Amino acid sequence: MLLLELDGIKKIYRQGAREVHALRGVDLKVEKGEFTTIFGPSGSGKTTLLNMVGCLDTPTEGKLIFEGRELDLLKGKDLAAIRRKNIGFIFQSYNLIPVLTAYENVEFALRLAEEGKKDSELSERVMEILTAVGLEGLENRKPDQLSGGQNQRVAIARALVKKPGIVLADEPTANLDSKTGEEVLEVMLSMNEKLDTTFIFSTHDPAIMEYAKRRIEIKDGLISGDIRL
Amino acid sequence: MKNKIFLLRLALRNMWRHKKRTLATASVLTIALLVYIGFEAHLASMDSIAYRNLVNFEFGHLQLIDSDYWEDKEQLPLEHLFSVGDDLRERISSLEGIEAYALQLDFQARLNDGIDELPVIGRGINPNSFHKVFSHKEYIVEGEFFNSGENRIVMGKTLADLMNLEIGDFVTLLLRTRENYFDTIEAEISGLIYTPNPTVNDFLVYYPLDRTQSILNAPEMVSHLSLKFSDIKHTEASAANLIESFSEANIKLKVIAWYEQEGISVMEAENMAIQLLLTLFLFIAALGIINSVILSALERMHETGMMKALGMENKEIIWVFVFESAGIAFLGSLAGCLLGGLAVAFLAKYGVDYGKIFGDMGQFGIPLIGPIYANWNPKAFLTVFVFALFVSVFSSIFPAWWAASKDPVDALYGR
Ligand SMILES: Nc1ncnc2c1ncn2[C@@H]1O[C@H](COP(=O)(O)OP(=O)(O)OP(=O)(O)O)[C@@H](O)[C@H]1O
Ligand SMILES: [Mg+2]
Repeated sequence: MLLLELDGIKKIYRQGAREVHALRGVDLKVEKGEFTTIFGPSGSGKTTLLNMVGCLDTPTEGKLIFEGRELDLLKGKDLAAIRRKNIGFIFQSYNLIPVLTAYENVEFALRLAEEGKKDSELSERVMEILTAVGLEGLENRKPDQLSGGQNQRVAIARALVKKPGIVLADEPTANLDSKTGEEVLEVMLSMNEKLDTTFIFSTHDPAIMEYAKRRIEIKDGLISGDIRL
Repeated sequence: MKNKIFLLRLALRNMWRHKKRTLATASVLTIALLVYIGFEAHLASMDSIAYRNLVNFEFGHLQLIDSDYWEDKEQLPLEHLFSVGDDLRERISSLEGIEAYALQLDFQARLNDGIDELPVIGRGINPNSFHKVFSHKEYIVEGEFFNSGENRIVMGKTLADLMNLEIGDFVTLLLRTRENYFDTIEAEISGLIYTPNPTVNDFLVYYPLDRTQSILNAPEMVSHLSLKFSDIKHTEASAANLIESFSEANIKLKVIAWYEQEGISVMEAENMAIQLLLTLFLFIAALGIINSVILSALERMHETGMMKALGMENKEIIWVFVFESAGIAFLGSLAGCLLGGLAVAFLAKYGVDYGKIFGDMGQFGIPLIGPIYANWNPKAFLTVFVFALFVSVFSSIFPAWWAASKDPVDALYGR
């Protein structure tokens, strides 16, 4: 099933008089359940592309079709509503809220997506996902009481708890050592298999790329390779 | 609703990320409220003492004066006296809650002890009714009060000390009669009084009314009639009642209630000052709040970006910052109210005797003697508390909006 389609996406950043062409016309189709990596040299446009897909940034030109619906990319509020319900983010530096526990960080995202649901229902789902990413028993710890890998698991749980259509991860392992990075990828992969959640992640690390079932190479703002394994 | 509670919880946790900053911001509010509440209560006490002194020693609850006399009352104009006939007595006796009334005839005089001469206010009174309306009798410090018809005077102790006078001394009061002829009263000092009302102690000489009337050549005439009720609460209704009946009967008397006396309230003048002080403090507090929101917003730029990525709306992010400021304001204001309450309790118990610190307060226009306490005024607590919260919340909105309206990508990558 087609989840998402990018059609002729261009992104031009203006820095004073200078124009930076971060994306020069990207066409891309993402099927539901894919586990995809985007790789390419630094400055090639990986982050920019993920932000477009995540409805976080708006393209200068081109169309974005999400679940069969063309998005009106001008309405910030509509985009926020889509992110709230349908898109999960995992960041390089976790971006957890330091004053909230692991449990509360996950609960936070779920409350935004599922307004008005009963507390008991929410807590069941939060605990379920925390257990699934291997954090059972650590739910009451705050981010500074958890290791980097554990924090990134909290972030994965936070991204997944609302059962989004797609999870986007920009260099999720860049802050982790290689072993922990691979563990995190294994968690992501198992979630992809268990929940059939679509993942797109970017990375520089060949070992991490190995996990992907589809590899998209990007160079200079254009897709230069797209391999399904 | 549940989400709001979650945001509130987050805001409360955020408050404690920087304990010192939070406490510093809150403490400005604490000081503002403490100072305001303390001053307000203290001045209110000063006011109520000033009014009590006025009521008990000079005015009664209600006074009747000839309307023309009122026009230049400072001159004590003897050409505008009035007489108290049966009709007026009846009108007064029929007032609800009336307890007593006293007649009074004031005149300008110069007190002479043979060497020095000082301007004073002579006050002709009828001791019997006078003691029912006023409290002087309890404040006799030497000698005794005179009876009607006796050629004796009672005067303030301060005035007597100033002129080196003692009980039994004879003094001369130089005055002008109603026809403007010079005349004198030569009388013996029968008693000295020292009241909490400095005007009485410094300027007043009391003399029997009947003798005053005859020397001034104003038989049966008075300048003031002071009424006292069983309860001060009867004043307002009685005043209204008298005003109406006087205007119907075409009686040319002015009715003045104790609370209409001008120039007594210290608060009227000082109120401006404390309002100004409060405004200044709250302005500083508002700057503190704005500063604290901006610093937090800058520190939490990535976090705010993340929240936007998670689909949080601007107004929800604003909520978090505003809740946080409200929490800080609540804390500071609550502490201010508690400390203010302690200050009021302390003042109410021990008071401050400014006379002991600065000397006679009469010279500063504060008509009272003895310590000044504090009056409890729950409304002042509530008002200033709500006001402080409002100011804080209001001043946090703009910086919170600024933080929330940043582009999510810019915020996430700290651009
Ligand atoms: N806000 C911006 N203003 C100006 N130029 C930008 C902005 N964001 C990105 N760029 C430029 O766009 C290009 C693509 O950037 P992007 O961050 O997408 O690359 P990337 O592939 O994620 O690189 P990296 O591997 O270093 O993260 C780069 O040349 C970058 O300098
Ligand atoms: Mg990048």
